[in-house]
Amino acid sequence: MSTGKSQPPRWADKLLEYLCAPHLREQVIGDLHERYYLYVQRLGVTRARKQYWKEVLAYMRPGIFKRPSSPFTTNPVFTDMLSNYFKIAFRNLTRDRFYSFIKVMGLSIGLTVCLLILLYTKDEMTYDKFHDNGPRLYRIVQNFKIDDSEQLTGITNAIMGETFARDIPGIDNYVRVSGRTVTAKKDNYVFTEVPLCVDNSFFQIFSFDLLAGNPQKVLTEMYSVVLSETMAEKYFGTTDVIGKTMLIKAADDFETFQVTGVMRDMPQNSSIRTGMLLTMQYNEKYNNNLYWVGGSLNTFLLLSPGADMTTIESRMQQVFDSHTREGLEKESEQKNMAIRITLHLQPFTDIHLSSFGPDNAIADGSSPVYSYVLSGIAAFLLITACINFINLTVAQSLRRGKEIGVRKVVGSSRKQLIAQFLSESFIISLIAFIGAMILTQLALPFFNTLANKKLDLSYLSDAYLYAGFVALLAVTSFLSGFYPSMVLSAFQPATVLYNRHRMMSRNLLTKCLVVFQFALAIFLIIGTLVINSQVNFMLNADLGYDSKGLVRLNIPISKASDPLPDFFRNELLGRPDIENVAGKNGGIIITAIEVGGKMIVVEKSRIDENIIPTFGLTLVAGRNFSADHPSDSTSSVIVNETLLKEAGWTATDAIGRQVHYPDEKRTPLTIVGVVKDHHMVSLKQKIMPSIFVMEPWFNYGNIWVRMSPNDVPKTLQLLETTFKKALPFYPYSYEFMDNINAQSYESEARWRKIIGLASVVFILVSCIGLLGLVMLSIEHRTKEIGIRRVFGAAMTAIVVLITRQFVVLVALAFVLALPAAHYVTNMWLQEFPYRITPQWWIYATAGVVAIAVAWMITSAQAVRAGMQNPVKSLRSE
Amino acid sequence: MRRSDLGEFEEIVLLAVAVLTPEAYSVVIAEELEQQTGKTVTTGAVHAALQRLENKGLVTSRMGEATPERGGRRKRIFTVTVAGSHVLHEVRNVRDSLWDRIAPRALPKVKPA
Repeated sequence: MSTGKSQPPRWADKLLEYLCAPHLREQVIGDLHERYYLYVQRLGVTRARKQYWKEVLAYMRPGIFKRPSSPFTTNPVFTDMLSNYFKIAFRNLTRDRFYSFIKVMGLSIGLTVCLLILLYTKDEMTYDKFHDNGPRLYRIVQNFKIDDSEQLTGITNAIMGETFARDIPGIDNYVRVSGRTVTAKKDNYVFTEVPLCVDNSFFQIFSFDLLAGNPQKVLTEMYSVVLSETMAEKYFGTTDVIGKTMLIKAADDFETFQVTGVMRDMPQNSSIRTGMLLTMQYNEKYNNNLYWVGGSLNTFLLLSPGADMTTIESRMQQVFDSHTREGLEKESEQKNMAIRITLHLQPFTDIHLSSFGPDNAIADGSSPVYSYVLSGIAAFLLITACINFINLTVAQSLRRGKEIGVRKVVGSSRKQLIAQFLSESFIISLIAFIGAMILTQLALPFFNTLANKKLDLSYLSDAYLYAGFVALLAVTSFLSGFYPSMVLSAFQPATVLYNRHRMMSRNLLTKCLVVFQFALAIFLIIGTLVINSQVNFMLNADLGYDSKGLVRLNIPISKASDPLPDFFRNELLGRPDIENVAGKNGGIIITAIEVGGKMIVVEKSRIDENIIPTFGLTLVAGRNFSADHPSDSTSSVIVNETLLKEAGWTATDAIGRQVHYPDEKRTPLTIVGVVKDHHMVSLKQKIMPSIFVMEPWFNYGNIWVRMSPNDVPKTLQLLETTFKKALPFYPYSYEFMDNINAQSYESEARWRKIIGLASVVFILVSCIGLLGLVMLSIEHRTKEIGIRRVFGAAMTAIVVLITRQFVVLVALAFVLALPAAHYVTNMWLQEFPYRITPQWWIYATAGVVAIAVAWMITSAQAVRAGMQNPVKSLRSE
Repeated sequence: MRRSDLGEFEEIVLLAVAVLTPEAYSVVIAEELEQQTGKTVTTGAVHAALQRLENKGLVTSRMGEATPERGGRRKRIFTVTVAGSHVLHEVRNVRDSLWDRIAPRALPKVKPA
């Protein structure tokens, strides 16, 4: 009927055609149309159309939708065809080995990274989860609020635990844990160990295995020690060591300890990790601090089942306030600042990823940021690897056209073809997966240094992990096999068999993908370069002194160390290669002083008169400390320029002025010198206002030696013998200032490695993606290239023809990545008070590298295509 | 096959098939029923009833010829089977015997339609 406009509504027909079972379509739609024309005659077009919709809706029922079951059943999994699929799959794999290698390689890389991240996350997720009392375990944390600043810490005092456990219902037990560095003796050797000093309740609260000894009372006697198996082997050569004695020194003298227990080595994914346990009584002998404010250890509480955390927290706060209110109020008034300390409970399993980081006694805190970033990278990589795989497979599919055509003609159903291609992708995924397993094993040590972990399959493997592996394999083979199988199985046998098949030019998506991959790779390259130059900048920055050849020796922080700088000086000066020797306090001391009526926070250092020449600091005004001025040791101070800036003084103007301690009883200090600003600590911190004093009640902790770099091993040997002479029982350790600086940039260096590696992997994977696209494009243009060759096109012309569009793609990726990289790297750099401004060459390098790599890959393919004899490509029609 | 399996709509569709044989298909049945009952009857509803009747074995169908109004699509022509005929007769017998037994003044008077 050609009544033009009076056709039935097209949309209704479309809908019905889509929903209606094929075998019913003819009669149903025929009926509807016939009825429609009857309506048109009776009611007119408009009402007929409306009525038509009603009619269509009347057909919306299951009886219409249901497709008849096919008489030809296919059961692909258990038929003989399956073996044929595998056979063909292997033939295809081996036919073009390079191609298969690239495919498998791409997937392997993606999978390897995924496996590594899976292990990492598994380790992070299971951290501290092995304690039977897990959900009832909490750590007390204190929040120090001073004016507007807040400082969270897991450090608590020594009396909280006991008081709370006694006075507050709902707390079953407590254990205090304190880290300590000691020296232990084995025959004539001394070793430095880092044991934990703990209460006797340790083994009742935590689920660490005690192999020998009574868990109820291994740590009741002050001079008891519990060793791990490894530690027992180290000191006694056997694990049967109960009752044996060993010599341990925490402060001045070696004392005899009796081994009362042997425990299994603590697992890697435990926040509490040590090879040696000492008693808390022993710790208190040297560190008996019973004040309510301050502290130096961790307190863990075991709550009763069903106890309410918030009630307990508020009760704890009450008890704490009743002990500390007065003191804090006085302190607040004196220092003219608002001090408030609040107590909180932190679930034990949160400690590992807590934002305020590791505290005394807690091993290897981590940040969830690493997990997020790593998982993000892994997910991206796996997806891009799959998509590349898809592109490569589809690109290659023309070669399989005939096979598919013949299969269809002989009677293969679409379902069977899909099953065939899925099983092929499964085989490739399986090979890639096996490759990934091997790569993972190889890469694990390297990854461990990156992630700061000791991951190992031995303690992480369990049913869940293997289930994860299998799931990963299944997802990968499905992701990478699904789309190609749909495309390939849709080939029309007539067209492919007559060689008339053309791939759809459905390239936009793949192009976008390649652009995206390259943009990401370029982004990561820029990131790596920026991190790299920032780290190098920090390592090589002018510190205000020469850090080369400066060596630090650790001496005990004790009154007894007072004569040591002079001793070392007398022994060493005049020996070859020793330029200067000086003494300084250990660690960093922060204090408040009053300068010109203003209270400021300063870093305070005890130095002797030789520090300034030894470091090579520049005096801007005034003089160094000197033995000629006896009063220097009690009432003189040297300050740095930053302090002057805070005080609003000029250098010459400052000499002779006084700074005061908040405590009025202490003598004010007169400024005798001003040193140029310098970086004693890492460049991640702004230079603080600093004062340098010679106060004798403030102990030395380090000896600093400046040596010339002529014969470093010999000079170090000299240092060691001198040290042994001065402190025969103290473990000797030295560190170069350069290394100390480098250590403070460890986390940046770690990011540099992670991002650097990620960028390499991404470049690799994007290249595979690009390769797929190039091959697809060449496959399309085989005839074109052949014709051009016949008409005399030069090889260069063909290379340009093929490569041009891809170089443009990568250039586009570069343009996209540039602003993002600029923005993100600048955000990252903002964290550093002393930072670089990214140079143009950083961006240029990233762009040039990406474009060069892309060009190399495409031109190699183009040359290969151009070399082909045009007869081959043209004769087929 | 019990009588109760035959719904009221199915019954009149089945009767309509019998009436319109040998040219009984959805559209004419729907049109016929519309004329007879004065209500709108969609071909969809008729089609559903015919599908059910065919499943019950009361009608059979074959493909008929195509017409231009149908866009060259063939129609499905239905005829009543022996079983269908049995059911129809049974239903009619029940009705008739019931009508016969209604006392002369038992029903209120209505005007004949």
